Order: sequence, then structure tokens, then C-alpha cells
Amino acid sequence: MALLSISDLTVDYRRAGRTIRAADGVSFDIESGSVVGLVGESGSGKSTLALAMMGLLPANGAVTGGSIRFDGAEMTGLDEAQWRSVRGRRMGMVFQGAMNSLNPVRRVLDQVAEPIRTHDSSIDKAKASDQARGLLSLVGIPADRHKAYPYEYSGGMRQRAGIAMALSGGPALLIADEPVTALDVIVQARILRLLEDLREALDLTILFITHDLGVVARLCDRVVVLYAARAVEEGTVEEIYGHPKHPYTRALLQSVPNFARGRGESRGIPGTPPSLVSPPSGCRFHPRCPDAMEICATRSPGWTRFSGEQVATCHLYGEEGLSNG
Amino acid sequence: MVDAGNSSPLVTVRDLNVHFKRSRRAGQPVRAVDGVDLDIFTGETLCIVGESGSGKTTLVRAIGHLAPITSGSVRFGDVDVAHLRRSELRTMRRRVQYVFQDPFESFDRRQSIFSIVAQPLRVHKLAGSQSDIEERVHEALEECGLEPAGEFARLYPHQLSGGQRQRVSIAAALVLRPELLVADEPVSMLDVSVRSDILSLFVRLKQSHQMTLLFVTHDLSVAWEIADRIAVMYLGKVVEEGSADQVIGRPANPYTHALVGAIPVPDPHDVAPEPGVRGDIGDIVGIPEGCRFHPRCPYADERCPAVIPPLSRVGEGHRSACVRNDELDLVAPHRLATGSIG
Repeated sequence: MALLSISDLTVDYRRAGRTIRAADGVSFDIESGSVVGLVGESGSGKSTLALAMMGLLPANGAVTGGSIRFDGAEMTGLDEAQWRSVRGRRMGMVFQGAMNSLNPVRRVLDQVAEPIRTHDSSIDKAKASDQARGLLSLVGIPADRHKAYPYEYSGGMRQRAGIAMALSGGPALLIADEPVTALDVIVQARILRLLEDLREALDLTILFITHDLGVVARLCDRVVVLYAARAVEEGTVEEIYGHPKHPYTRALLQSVPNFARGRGESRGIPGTPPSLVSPPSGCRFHPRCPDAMEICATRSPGWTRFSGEQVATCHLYGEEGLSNG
Repeated sequence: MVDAGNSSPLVTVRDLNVHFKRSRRAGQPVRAVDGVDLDIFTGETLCIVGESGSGKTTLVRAIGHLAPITSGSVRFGDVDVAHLRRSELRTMRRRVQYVFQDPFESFDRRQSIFSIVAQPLRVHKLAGSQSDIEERVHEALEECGLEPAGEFARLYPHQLSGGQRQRVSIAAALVLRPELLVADEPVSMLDVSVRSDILSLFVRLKQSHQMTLLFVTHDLSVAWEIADRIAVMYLGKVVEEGSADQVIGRPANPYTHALVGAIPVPDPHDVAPEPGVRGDIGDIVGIPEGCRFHPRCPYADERCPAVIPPLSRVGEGHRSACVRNDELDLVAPHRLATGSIG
């Protein structure tokens, strides 16, 4: 059963009297125990989706359609108090800048211990502290550094502490928004390995939001590709990297340097990602698409299901089964 | 591709040190660049690769006289960069042009694209008549893919995308016809779908203008795309240099090996082993004795804390700074395209 189910989700921002649709009818499921990569460039809506899923949309943003079901319950329409009983408990969060979620003037151990007691008031201080030590050791922070302050940590250690905090409520789902983007590549590889280990050890489900196709290939089972506020393709990592169907996915993979392909063979996508203030008509990729046809400018393509679990929205393929609304 | 063996160096760096005093507490200065030897050959693309804190940016700034040289020498052609006279400095600044990471910060928002690209011509008093300026600005914009140039020239930075803004900063560097173009992380803020076109623009311009390209990046896959040669830095020192195929295909230094192995490759079947490296560069307080990488190195032995290894030959044009150069036979971390190893 799906742990998280996003269905036809629409999120609007109001800015200077205008409405900007940052998620436009997005649907996907995250099965319990899987690691799903949500991939997109700037303006794809991936961060908006993350914020909506965590009930953290800013005041000028709102879910205006569709549903978010988590753990069998509907999340849209929850008030802040209700969200607080979900966020940090069944749903843990890790962000790009770990320093933003850590208080610089409090010891790391205390910061990890505190939410344990908030979530379960029957736990006394000493026991919470023990549990926090366990979590910090689990994420690879040596015991003699548990009581340090965040500013005494390197970037990698801070991100590990951030992960420990996210785990303190015993989450079923971990939402990680560009968690390794700001880190040097060796540290990044070790944090990715940590997430893989944690997934095994704690039976975690992970939603990994990133622009980095290399990171997704290393960590994820499934991929959802976003373009201009819409999902355009979804499938297993093998399907998406092995035989991408949507011209955007193909072009995106072609634009990333790849050792196996040879030097100087990556090709950019002409043009720039569209503005969500005035997105293109029809298929939003059509102005940049090498395969665009007449119909692409006028009609949004529906979903086509391919063999296996792969689906894509493109007029190159016939439509069947699912619809894009 | 330039055969480094047959080309003469445009820039020769010898025992270069750039040390900064710490502002607050007294103590050891920060040795941002520490005893670096480097040749940059005319017409080549040399990538300086390193993590944050490796000194790569300070090194390329020192080459163009943008960072104070503590000791050692930098020769640019026949000019001694460390002891420039004021009159030489101006010429030097024209011969070396920089493109920086953030195209959003390097512009004055109130300036049009035309005046941004024309400004270097005016500063260096290379401008003739207004129509001469206009011609050279339009030419530079067109060469950087901003066409029609006349229309782009009238726009302002906020009207451009990130990739277009980076093209403007390249045009502003190009308009002075530099011999050396230094690009410091010029694509790291850009969306992946526009990065590779900017990279190929650099390569194209380097060829058509017969420039030498010095390219700083933290991303070895970017270096793989464009470099003839790569120099890898760690805590102020060059630890390995060689052709792109050598450094990425057959890294000899344990640090480079870890760095290359850690690159996430967009191929689910290419799963490089986890680097056996301990800690992170930011955990290192002060500078370790001996080889700077030894506290984190999975191959370190008793010699490593005692000896600072010099860069020494491990192959034709391939050098590594490791006391165990002759003993280690590191496994290639990634599958490379067949036939690309030269």
C-alpha cells in the first residue's frame, strides 16, 4: 500500500495580485519501503511539492486542488496544530542547509533529545538523552562529539545531526530536500551511503528531492520527473535511465556529463525552463522539444503507460488508461 | 586537444605561497596556497579541481594578481606577476580575464547589457569611436550566442535567464581579447540543462580566439567534459596532475581516487565503491604534518605523517604526490567510454 499518495495536486501562490500555479495536477505514489526521487530543474515545482507535503507552504501559498494522503489520512485541510502531530513524528524532514534546522547555541545532543520528549512525554530526560546518543551514533557522529555545538561541526557532521533530528520522532517517511547539494562530493557520497544504511536498518521510506540525476541513480528505486509544475514521466530508475520516453527526460539525461558516454558529448537543452507566471500552452516542454508537433502547442498530452511501471505524458505516444485531467 | 609536451607554458608558477593572516586570534596563518608548482600551456584547457578549502580559487586569483602573493613566482609570458609595476598591471589585467560563479551578483542592475560589455573597453581605454565600441560589443554578444545582439544589448540583467547572464559575463571578458580566460565555477549555479551549452561555448571561444583556458571547478564531471589537463588540489597543494583521461580514468593519488569514486554518475549500474576516506575536509583543524591527506587516507602508513610527498612522475605527463606512488595500484573507480583513454 502507498504510504504517501499525491493525487491531482494543485498548489497556487499569490504574488503581486497574480496567481502562480507551482504544482499543476501532480500525481504519484510512494510505496512503503521505497526510495523515490523527485527530479526537476528550477521552476519545476519540486520544492513546492515538498513544502505542501510537509504542511509548510508559506502564507501566500495554498493547496487549491487534489489530495495528499499520508498513512491513510488526508493531509490537505489540516490546521497547524494537526500538522504538528504529523511533522517530525511519522514524517521526518531533512533540508539542504542543516544549519537552518539546528540552533547554533544549543548542544547537538540536547537538540536531538528535545523532540523525543515532545513526542512522548512519558520519556524522562535521561532516557531521551540515551536515545539521542543512540541516534547520533547511528548517523556516524562519534560519542565524544555528541555534546558539541553545531558551529563546531563540519558541514557533513551537521547534515548527519540534521538526519538524527529528523529520525528522532521515529518517522515512517523521510522527506529529504536537496540534502547533499551543499556538500563536497566525498562527504556527499558518505551521506548517501548513510541514508541507504538507515533505510535498511529502520525500514524507512524516503522521498528524495533533487536536481542531480547522478544522486538519484545512486540512491533511488523510482523516479518522478517534473517539468514546469507538472509530472512528465515516472518509472523505476532502470526504466528512466535505460530507456527514457519523454523527450525532456531524454534531453535532461543527455545534458549531464557521463563517463560512459565519452567526453564532450553532453548536449544542453535549448532555451530556458519556462516561467510559471506564463507557462507555455499545451505541453509545457514543446518550445524546447526536438520532437514537437503541431498538437503539442495546443493540447496537454495525457499519460501513456509503457511496459513495466513506466508512464509518460507525450503526444509521441498514444494515450491510454490514465488521464492527466 | 593540445599536446602539452609540444607547447610552451603561458604561465609558470613556482613554489607559490599565498598565506592569509587570521584576523582575530594570532596563530598560524591560513596557507591557502602552499608551495604550488604549475605550468599552464598555451592553448590548453587546464582544470583546477578541488573541494571547498582546497585553495583553487586563491591560486587562480594569484595568477591574475587578484590575490596577494606571499612568496614564490608567477610568470605570465615574460611578466613577473609578483613584482608588477603599476603600468604593467593594467596590461596584465587586460591579458587575463575572469568569469565568476554568480552571474547575478557580478552586474550592476541598473546597467544595460550594452554598457556591461562596453565597460571593460572604456576602463582599458581601448575604445575608439562609439560605433567602434558598438561593433565590438555586438560581436562579443553574438559570439556568446546572444542574438540578435542589438536586442540583447538593450536589455537589463533581470530580464535574462541565469545562462544568458553567464553568457554576458563571458562576452564582457572576451571583448578585451585576453590571452588567458579564467573561469571560476562558471556553471555551478546554473540548471543542468543549460550547463553543457555554456561549457561548449567556452571550448568554442577558446579555439576561435586562440586563448588559454584556466577553469576552476569542484565538479570532476565538468572537468571531464572540457579539460585537456586536470590539476587536483587538496588543502593548498596540488596532489595530482595529468590529462583528463589519466586523472579521471586512472587516478594515482588516493585523494583523487576517492574524489573520482564519489562522483554520482547518472547510470544506475555504475556503483562506485564507497570511498574509504575518513571525516571531511572541514574536520581538519590546522594543517596536518607530512602529507596533508594522511589523517583521512585509507592507504596511509608510518611515512605519511613524516614526509611531505613531492609531485612525482607516475606516467607520461602524469604526476602524483604520494609516498606510495610505486606501491599502490588503485582500481579505476568508473567505467569510462571505450577508446577515450589516450
